[in-house]
Amino acid sequence: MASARPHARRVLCTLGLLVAGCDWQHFALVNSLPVEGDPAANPVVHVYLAVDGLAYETVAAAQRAGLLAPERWQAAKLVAMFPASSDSSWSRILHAAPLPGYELHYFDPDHDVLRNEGYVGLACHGVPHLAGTALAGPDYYRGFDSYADGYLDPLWGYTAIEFSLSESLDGLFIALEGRAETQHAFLGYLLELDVLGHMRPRAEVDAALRRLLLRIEQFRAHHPERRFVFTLLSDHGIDFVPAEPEHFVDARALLRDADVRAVRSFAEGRRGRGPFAVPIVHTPVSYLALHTEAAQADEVARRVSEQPSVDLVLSPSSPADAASAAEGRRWFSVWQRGRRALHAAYDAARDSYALRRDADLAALGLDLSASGTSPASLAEHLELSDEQAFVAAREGRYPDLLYRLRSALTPVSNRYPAEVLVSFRRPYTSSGFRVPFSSVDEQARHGFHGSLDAGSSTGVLLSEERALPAAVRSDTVLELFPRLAEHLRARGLELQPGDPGANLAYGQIP
Amino acid sequence: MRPPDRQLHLRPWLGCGLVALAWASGAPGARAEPAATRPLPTLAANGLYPLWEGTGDVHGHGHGVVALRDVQLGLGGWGQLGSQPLEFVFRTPNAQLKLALWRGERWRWAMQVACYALLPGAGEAFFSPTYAATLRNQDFAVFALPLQLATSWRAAPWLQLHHTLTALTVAGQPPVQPRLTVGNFLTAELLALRHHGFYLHLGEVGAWAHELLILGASYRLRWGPVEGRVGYVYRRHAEGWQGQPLLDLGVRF
Repeated sequence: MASARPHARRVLCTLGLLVAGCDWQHFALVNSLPVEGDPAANPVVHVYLAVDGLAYETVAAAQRAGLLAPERWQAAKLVAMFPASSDSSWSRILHAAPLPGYELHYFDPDHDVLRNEGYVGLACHGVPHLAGTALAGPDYYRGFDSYADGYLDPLWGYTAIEFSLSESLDGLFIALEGRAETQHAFLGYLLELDVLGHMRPRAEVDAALRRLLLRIEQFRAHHPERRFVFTLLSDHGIDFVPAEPEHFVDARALLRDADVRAVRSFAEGRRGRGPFAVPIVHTPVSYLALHTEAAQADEVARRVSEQPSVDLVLSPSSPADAASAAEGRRWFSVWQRGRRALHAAYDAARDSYALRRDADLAALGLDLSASGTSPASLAEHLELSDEQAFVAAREGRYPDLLYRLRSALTPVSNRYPAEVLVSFRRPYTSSGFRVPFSSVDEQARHGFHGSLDAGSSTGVLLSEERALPAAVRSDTVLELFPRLAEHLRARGLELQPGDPGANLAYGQIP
Repeated sequence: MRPPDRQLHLRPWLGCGLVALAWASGAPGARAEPAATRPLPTLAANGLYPLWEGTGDVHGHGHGVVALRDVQLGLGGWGQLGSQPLEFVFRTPNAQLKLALWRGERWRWAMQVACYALLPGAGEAFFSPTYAATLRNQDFAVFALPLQLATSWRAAPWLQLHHTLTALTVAGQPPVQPRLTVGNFLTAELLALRHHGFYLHLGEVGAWAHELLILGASYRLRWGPVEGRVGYVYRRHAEGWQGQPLLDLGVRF
């Protein structure tokens, strides 16, 4: 029996290599086949490039440098969901099937267990995806015509970033060149700007965007037979706020300091006394997801918000009073420095928010004058339509705050949303799962995303296709770009309805 | 009369045993074998990049190969029938017919015609979506018909050069337009030891249009009837470089 195990391992390795070899053979065949289409059949090709972590500020810098002709390119702030994390955010933007959690590491409340914890979760980032298996990857990947360049692409993306960027740009435009012969639209994905944002100074991210823009123009020049209309979109921003070693927060230590027990399951939590929470510790991001019982979510949030590394904490809440409870609204709270900074409710039927008057809205970056709101709509509560709330927070410290807060707690792109979400006070950030002797987590300190604040949350829509409002809610991208929605459907993606209140009447927004 | 390398293949198990014996007794023993009785190094009957690369060699009658990439059978010493079985999994049925035009001591000439039918969906039919194909044909079929003239020249006992001239016709259902593309492929086969072959690959596709440049290197191991090949190729497209491994494993008979 002892000798059978290595033998089986050898057979499995050989089989794995053979499966890989199969893809290689077909890849070589298809990608050296000169297929030509009729330019008259698709004279215009709409190209959508999903650029992970491209911040609005990076594009604004390119605009200031004169790299984006204003008569051709329209730029808008694209406000990501909270928490602004890639897999969840792309799933919501593209209306793909929801993921279990915000990250690959998640808590499964149905079985009261953590999944993909530690090394397993990290390894999931580097494991080659195999269609139709447990290694298929998130559903939104199926929407991309091109999202990687080989089995080891994710690994190179984090360990050899310059090489990976060159390889990915080549692979992306090679795929586009071929597909443009027969397709009307193309959706490609580029990972490396996000990695650069984490691991390199801002100037290198700016340089990477310049390379991408240059490649777009070169591609256009190489292919005069068709007109290519480009749109770039991103899943979140990067705040370009570096973190020193003392700013990396260990989730368990944070909970301990807040007098909240860090546990691995609800069963373990119920065995002890006092509030408990299951922290999700995965990658270095500027938010932290905590799972706990609904009855103690407010108390966990309040205690955690007292910590100096924490900016805001979100929790679902009970109604403010009996009358409010009868209205069937969904209540939530924002905690700051140990007190409830905001107690609000969302009325799905009216697509509006009710805010308690005692909230310090200015401290939360809500500018009611911008939204044209009269502060006398209700005696106890201030009522804001979704559009008014969007405008009030558009230029604030926390863009689209109310929508992002209330939708973070609902299963739109995550089957198991957390009960408590922590937004760190930058430069503090979650340390994520630390790998001994790894330089990746030490290098990932130049910029972060995930938190509620503007730098982290504000991605970009940069388009030659259409005029854009100044700011766009990321959940509404497909409404603004119906060709992209159609392309996703054509690629076999079953578009999810998303949050029923996500729509914004951009035409009515000043 | 069969060439010496074929005699080895007629007795695969004996060959396998001899290889094992030679391996066990150490390479010096093999090297000490008199040149006159030493079997000639075995030659490749296939290119590693079959759409554009071939050889002037054909399998002898009743001989052939069953491999990951190729299933081939020699017919009458003048030709061979073949197919790439794995491509069927990728919705690409295909077949090749290769004819020996001339076989001399140092030169061999062959012509091959093949047909690949990329059925709807073949462009993206990968096991892993990490490979982005340049073609997505969910609604239409594409047909590729390469006609190849290949020559192999034994420049030295340790060196063989293969050249393949390909005229590839690609046609299909709309929106694909019929198109003829010419390719040139040169392969240097270094037969360093009896069971080992090292290859350098250089291909150019598109003639004066220079659509594609293919560069690569590979290694082949022959172990009795078992033959394995592994290599890495780069393709230079108009929009940049793309690299990938290539792998083959099979049994010759």
